[in-house]
Amino acid sequence: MRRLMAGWRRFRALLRRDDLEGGLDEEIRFHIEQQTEKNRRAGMTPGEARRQALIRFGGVEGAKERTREQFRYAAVEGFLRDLRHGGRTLLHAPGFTAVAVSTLALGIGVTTAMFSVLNGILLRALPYPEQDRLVELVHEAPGFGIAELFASPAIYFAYRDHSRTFASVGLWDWDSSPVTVTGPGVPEAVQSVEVTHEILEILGADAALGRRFNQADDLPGSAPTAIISHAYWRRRFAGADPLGQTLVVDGIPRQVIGVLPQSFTFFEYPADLFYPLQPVRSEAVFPSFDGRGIARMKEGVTLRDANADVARMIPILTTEFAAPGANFDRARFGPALRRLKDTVVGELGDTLWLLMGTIGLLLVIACANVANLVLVRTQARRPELAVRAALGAGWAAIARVVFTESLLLGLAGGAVGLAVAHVGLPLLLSRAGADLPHVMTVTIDRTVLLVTLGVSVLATLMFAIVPLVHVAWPGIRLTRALRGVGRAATDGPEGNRARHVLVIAQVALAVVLLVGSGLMIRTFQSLRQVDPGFRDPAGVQTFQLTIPDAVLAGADRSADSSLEQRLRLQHAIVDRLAAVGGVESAGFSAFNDGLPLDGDGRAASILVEGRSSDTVTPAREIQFVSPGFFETLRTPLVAGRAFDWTDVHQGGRVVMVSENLARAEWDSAAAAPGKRIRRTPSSPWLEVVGVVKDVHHEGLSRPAPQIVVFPAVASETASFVVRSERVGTPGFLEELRQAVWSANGNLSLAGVRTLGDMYERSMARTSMSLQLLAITGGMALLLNLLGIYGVVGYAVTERRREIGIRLALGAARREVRRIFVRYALVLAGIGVALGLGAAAALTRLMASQLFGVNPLDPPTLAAVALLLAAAAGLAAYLPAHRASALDPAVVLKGE
Amino acid sequence: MDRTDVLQGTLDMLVLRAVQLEPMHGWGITERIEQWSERVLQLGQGTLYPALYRLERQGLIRSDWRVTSNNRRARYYSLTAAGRRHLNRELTQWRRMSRAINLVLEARLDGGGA
Repeated sequence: MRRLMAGWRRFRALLRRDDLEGGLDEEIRFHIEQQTEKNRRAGMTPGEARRQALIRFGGVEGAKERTREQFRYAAVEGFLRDLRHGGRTLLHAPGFTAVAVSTLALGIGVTTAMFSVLNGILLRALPYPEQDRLVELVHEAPGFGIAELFASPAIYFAYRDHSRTFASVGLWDWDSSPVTVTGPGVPEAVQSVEVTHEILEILGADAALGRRFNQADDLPGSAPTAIISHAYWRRRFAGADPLGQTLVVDGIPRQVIGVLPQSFTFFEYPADLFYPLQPVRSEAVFPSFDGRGIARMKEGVTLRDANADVARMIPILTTEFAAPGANFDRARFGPALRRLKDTVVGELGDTLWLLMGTIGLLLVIACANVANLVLVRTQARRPELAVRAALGAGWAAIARVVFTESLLLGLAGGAVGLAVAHVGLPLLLSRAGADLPHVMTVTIDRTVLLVTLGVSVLATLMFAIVPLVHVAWPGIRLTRALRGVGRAATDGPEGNRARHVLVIAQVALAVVLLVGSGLMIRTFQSLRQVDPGFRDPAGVQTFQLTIPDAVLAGADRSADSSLEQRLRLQHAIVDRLAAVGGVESAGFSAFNDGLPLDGDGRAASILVEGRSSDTVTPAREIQFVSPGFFETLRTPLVAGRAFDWTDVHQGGRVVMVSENLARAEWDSAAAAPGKRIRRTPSSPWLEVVGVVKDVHHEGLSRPAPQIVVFPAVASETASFVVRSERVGTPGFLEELRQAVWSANGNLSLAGVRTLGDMYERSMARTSMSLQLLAITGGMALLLNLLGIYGVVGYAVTERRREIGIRLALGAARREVRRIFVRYALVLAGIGVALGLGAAAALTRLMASQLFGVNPLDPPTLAAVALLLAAAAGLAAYLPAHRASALDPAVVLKGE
Repeated sequence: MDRTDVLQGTLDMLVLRAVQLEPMHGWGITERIEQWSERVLQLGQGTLYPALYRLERQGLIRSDWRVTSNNRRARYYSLTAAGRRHLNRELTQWRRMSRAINLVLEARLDGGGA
């Protein structure tokens, strides 16, 4: 109560500062006048009386200044003094400071780096205005177990005409193969996007030059136009006026009508050329999901409203665009709109939050380590603190000393940590970069800096609280410490308990992290064991070839004939490729999406002979391949035969199916050959001639799709595959290029990569999580070693005398070692037990990241427990050995 | 050596003692201490006012503006309850201490030795 009052008075004095300041002048004037008056009465002249009074008073200004110091509540000055003092003390303990700061820097550094990624990708807005109103048109078909279907011209037309919640609807399509821009100079492969005129408007992209697409550009048959990216304008036109210029895109002359602003990026697609999609209403059918739709919702519309609106429109869609009589009941098509931001981030969000969480745990471990260091140091400084207390420093003053020091450590750790993050972030991005959406930029911005500061202060609180609580009851212990001055000061049971709790917590957290890493390793192994459906992918070179009409040199340009020409050219190219030295086999798959794991594919419904034909069935993956394609991939033939060139050139007679499709429809692969399927009720029946092994098309962790394989058909773009021992050796690719040119000199290879790259890429996210988790796990283990080493070391120092006596009484040195190793093992054991419990609860959170392994995988848990026990034993052995090597005579004399 | 340092602890006690009987202004305190000490203790004015402000901050004295007998405004200091307790404690200790010092200084050499 008294203290409270004092505090209040001090506070009031602070408020009354001006009053005091003014009062002081008056008070001193009064004083001097009184003295002058007295002097005058004693007989001095008035002048002399005043002079004497002033002399008697001394320096008026000096007195004022000293008085002011009394009421200037010196909080700020005091704090700065504490900081200076703390800084000096820390510099006098360079070893302690270095270890503490670098531990913190490590923790804060990785936290900052990871948070920059999280901030850049998950927290920051997309670079499109009013992103909250932007949604992607996504549908689901729970009846077929399909969670994600996109959009198509039919959906675009239906929603554009009937929606009540969308301000604007647009459709776009990304062609993963580049278009060929010809004209003066070398033919150029350019990445392009087809858009309806609404898309750029929805994304808020104003043309930097010229204009955006309008409705007229979207009408089939209107003059072909194009808008180019800022970068392409610079590259192609060197900044000259591009408007009105003509680009020949895949043989079609297009007029450039606009240039996009430099800052504009179209999601993660590096597109340089945009041209109108021009969907044709009369050709639009449902179901089809071969494009992507985005919409801007009207002001005030929620995602739920929009979903309800789409649900209302689906019946309109089916009556307007579906084949008459088609039955959609089984599919149960429904809306599953998604905010654009979620679309861009996708499942990456889960991964990033998981990694952020694990790195947060690492930071806590680092703090526990530093807390232990500070605790030991406070211990060593007990005599000093006790003397301070005896000289009248209150608990608050001592706590301030400890806290200021901790804060300095925390801030230094934060500053160095920022440097660590600055260096580490590019490294992190180079590991994960391929998997991150490019539309978002990851940098250390102001938010990150603020969070780093916050984390540093939070970390300070975390590791300062233990020693602070520890000095909180100064009476008893400080007196004891004072008595113990000169001897090794110890803090008795309370100190040990604090240290033990810290070490146990550390071990438990490390267990959680290591179990996480262990599960990722198991996941990675499981993925490696998945049979992708092809073998030795590193030996397969793949590339895409686009054959525009313009390239086909032929007098006769009639449609049928150009198709045939194209197919003949592709056939010829396969032959030339197969003739290159060292090539075992070659083939191609029509279109640009025919390769496994290329992140793209096409699907269609098929009808099986003997089943009712009026029901819409789940779409099957479809693929169009040349002879030699499966042979090149080494995808085994399970039953029947593969295609030959006759199948290709005759066309439309036979198909192959994947093993899982054969099983689903006819119960066994062997039963499939001879059965018949067709694509629409009106198309001819096709005979199944062969069955191939399942191939994973969408990633190893997803089940292999059921596939219908048709003989290759003519397509502008085709994906070629070549198997050879020479893949990746210098000159090989050049020989392949020459082989292509020997068939036609106007073609350029695009998307050149090996199937091995695609295979690795499909595991990139798992691999990124694995690496990051392994790194954090490793760091956690290291910090644990340090922590256990420190605690056992302290225990050895504390018990020197006891050890000396034991040794003097004839204890075996082995026995002494065992005491300390056992001590460490008991602590680690408790930590491991608690950690396993925590891991059991927490690893469930990462279930979505795992594949082929139970979150409670016993081998992983056992391995982690053993690893930590071994680490604890190892960390304890050094100090234990030191203890057993003590010379009893020296120890006992020293006391 | 700076005289104020030597008197640091004692100065506070003297000031508290001076205002114990009745509220006084700064000049009055100087006068009273001088008077009581038979002019041996002359307070350095440069130290009086810091001491007054410090004591007020510590809650041992309080101050208020009053009008003097010849109609001048002056700040008067008076002892608080806390100040009274503090003064009593200090006095007890001082008496013990000065007695002890006196005993040492005036001890007779009873049993020989140098």
